[in-house]
Amino acid sequence: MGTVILRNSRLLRAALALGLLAVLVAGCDLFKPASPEVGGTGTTLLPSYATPESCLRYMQIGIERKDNAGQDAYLGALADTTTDGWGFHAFFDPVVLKNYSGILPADWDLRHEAQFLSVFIRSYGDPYEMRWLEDVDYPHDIYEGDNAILRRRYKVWALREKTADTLLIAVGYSELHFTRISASRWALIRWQDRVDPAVGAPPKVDDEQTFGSRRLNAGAGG
Amino acid sequence: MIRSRRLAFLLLPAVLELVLAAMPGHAQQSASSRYAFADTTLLRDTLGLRFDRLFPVADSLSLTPDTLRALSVRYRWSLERLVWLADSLSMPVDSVGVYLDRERLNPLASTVRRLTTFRYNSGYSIQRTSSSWSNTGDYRLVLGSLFLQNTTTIQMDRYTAGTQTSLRQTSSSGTEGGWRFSPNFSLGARANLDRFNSRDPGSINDQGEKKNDFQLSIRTRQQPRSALRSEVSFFSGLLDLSNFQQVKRGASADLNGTLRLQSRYLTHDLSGQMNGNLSRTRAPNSPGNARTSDLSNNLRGTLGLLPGKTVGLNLNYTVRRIRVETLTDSGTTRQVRTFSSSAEATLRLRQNNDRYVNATGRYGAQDQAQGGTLNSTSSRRDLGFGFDGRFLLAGWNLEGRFSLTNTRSEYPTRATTGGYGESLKVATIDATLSRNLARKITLRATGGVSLSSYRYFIIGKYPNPPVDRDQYRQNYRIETLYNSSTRFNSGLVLDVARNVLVNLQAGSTASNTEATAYRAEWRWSYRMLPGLTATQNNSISADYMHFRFLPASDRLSLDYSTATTLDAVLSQRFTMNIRHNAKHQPSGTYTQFVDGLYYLSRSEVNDNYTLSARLAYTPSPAFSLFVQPDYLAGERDASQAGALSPTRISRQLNFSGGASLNLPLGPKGRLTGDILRTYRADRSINYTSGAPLAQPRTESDFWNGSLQVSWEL
Repeated sequence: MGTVILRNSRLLRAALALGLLAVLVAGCDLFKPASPEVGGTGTTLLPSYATPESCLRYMQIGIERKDNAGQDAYLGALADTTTDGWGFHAFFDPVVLKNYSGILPADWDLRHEAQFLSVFIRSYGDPYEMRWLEDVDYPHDIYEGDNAILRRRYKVWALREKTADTLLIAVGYSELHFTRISASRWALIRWQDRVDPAVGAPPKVDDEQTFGSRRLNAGAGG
Repeated sequence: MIRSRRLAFLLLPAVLELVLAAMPGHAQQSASSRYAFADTTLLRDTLGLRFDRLFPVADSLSLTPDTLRALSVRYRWSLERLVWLADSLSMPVDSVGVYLDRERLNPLASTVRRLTTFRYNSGYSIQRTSSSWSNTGDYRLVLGSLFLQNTTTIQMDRYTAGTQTSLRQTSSSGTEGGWRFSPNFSLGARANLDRFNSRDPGSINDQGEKKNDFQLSIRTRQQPRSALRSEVSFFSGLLDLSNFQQVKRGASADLNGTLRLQSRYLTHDLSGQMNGNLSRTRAPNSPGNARTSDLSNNLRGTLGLLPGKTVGLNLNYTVRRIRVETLTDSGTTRQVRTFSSSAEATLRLRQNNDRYVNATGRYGAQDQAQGGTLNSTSSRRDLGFGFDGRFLLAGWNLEGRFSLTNTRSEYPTRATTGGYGESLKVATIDATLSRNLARKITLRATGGVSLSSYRYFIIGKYPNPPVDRDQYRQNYRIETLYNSSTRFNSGLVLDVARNVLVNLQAGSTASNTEATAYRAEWRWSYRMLPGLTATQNNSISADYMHFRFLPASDRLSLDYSTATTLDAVLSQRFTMNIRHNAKHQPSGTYTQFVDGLYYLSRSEVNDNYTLSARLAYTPSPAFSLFVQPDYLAGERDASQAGALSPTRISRQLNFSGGASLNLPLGPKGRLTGDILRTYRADRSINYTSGAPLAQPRTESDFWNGSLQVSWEL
């Protein structure tokens, strides 16, 4: 009987300590999000990440829009450890790493990608156009349960208004690994970047770099 | 009833045999509810290793079970051996393998008078558009005080895209020879040669890098007291580097050392390295050159106070400073500098592994300067603290974590006129409560809340910085596991998560969302016969996406899925595994009707079915044959003119067959790996305005897999 009373007393004390901690934490408003300003809601872009293809589509739209809503759409397609339980990581072609003379970051994660994107969309003042193209050697996407691997060739052009022509500013191959987070969300967890053999590294035209090369040279390594 | 009991009695020997056969699995089971939900697929036997007591051992070492398992597989050591080595070397388990690999090449660590070893490893892996072939040779010779060692690695990679093929070849060779004057001092010379060659058909010229380092080597070891040991090594010599961007020739040096103090009340591990070069650098086709210097300093330490006591303190700290000078296009030099430092102190209050509290404080700083103007500088400061603990009371196991982190990042050169900074505050709290409710029922409840607040400020003049926002998440998960017997178990899971995105500025609130996800899962596993087990997993998910300022865009996505697996052991040599997955995924907007209820208006429905099997025949432990057919069927309906109609139907067949090898090659060699041929066919029908348009069937077949040969003299 005495043991039971002792146990109950301990349980009561533990429960009280937990309750006190909960009250303290709740009272500090540490977990209360701020209220948004009231007024015009701004431009509307409602991205959907319901499938890996729709993730790619909104990454493309994000780059083409070049505004904050576009950046949010692009980054929203990438896995975020704080909300998804998975993180995004980009990997580089070995020759791109060899060509880079600066200090390599230990890991290219979502934080680096956000900084890179901010720089990349401002690299050329002209509007951008992006296309995800079929990798002819891998026409089939691989779906295994809640994981998918898509292989795509990508191209980004700057649509030069002054000269009324286009300039290819990013080209390469990518192996994209997606995972399903919930019923309505897939997220990109791994981007393995590869140089297009037809373009090479370094390319004949300086602008025709891979995303990997642009990432490293965007000065976003910190 | 009486008959079935008698039958059950007759089956007792078979059940006993199965229970005994499953000893490794049983070793993991604990009376604690903490491991009841552990991922038991980690326990599967591979490479002849067993992972007995994986979960409790990982828990007590503060490692994740998959990390501990990966260490065991990587170094081919049992968990007991890993822990024993870590104890005897007084170092963390994840450092043991790295330390022993390094010490193998340390001449001062050698205690033998005469030794000749040679190891050769070769690996070849092939995928549809890439192949990789690596060769590694490792030679060691000890003749009294004389030593010579060499490690050479050559790797060749091929990547194909369309009709174009890229080639990459990386090779490195490290040779060191010298004289061990005493167990604490050696003098010698070493040559480190690195080569990289790359060929792309579209490149203006082939890429290559050639790096030669010829150095004098001095290694020393000190032990002034039994509790204090240290090592200092110095290498210095000539550097010759040439690649596509630069030709660099000069002198290089590397000074590194470790210090280890170990007493009853204090342990301190300190390692430091300083290396750099003084060179003349020029562009490959330029006659003029410039003087450049690179310097890297690295200091890392771990201090432990009162290890193994009720109250203790751990302190990890690191300081790293790197300066690299490179040539610009105009021939001038550019400095790239990074500086980073971090410290983390943890105060431990520990009664035992079931009752402890840790209080942790963290600080980190990082600065980077790239030279030039745009995007050239950035800095970051982190400051945080947190608590975590575990308390076992009256059968209830409570674990909790709380942390608060402030990060301030600055990017002052985003534009020529200025940049912006980011202030990020992250607060997280989560807790897990678990208990064995009854002898056969285990409960676990998990809950957590986190808030990330991003605020931006302008440095100088900058037109459009990112928008201030808050990301809030709360979630809870309740799981119950019912273990009826060794033949049957079942589990129920309810998972609820709410994610809120709040953009604060008025002009950006259109995309503010509140996403609530519900997921319920029921799974069961039943061993129908001694060699036949059925497992089924059924789940229902619902994601409600609410746009606060655009309620007409609210969306609902549903997912009904079921996965059934049959595992059959038909004989000692023949196993079969069959899986079937079905998914039904309707989605669309949901709106409130006049009756006050919300209804889903379906705009898209996806149905996917997968049937796959794997049959394996293992005539001997050294050789196994397998075939693996997969069939996938998908249908997608979308809303057109208010009604659902098909938009795409697809079918895919994959068929793989191959062999797994684990063959001894003489007394000291081994061939391992697997090689298979894969055939893939795909056909689809796309609908345009309701009219079907059949796509031609695409087929491909290719070799893939990897093989490794290892041989030791």
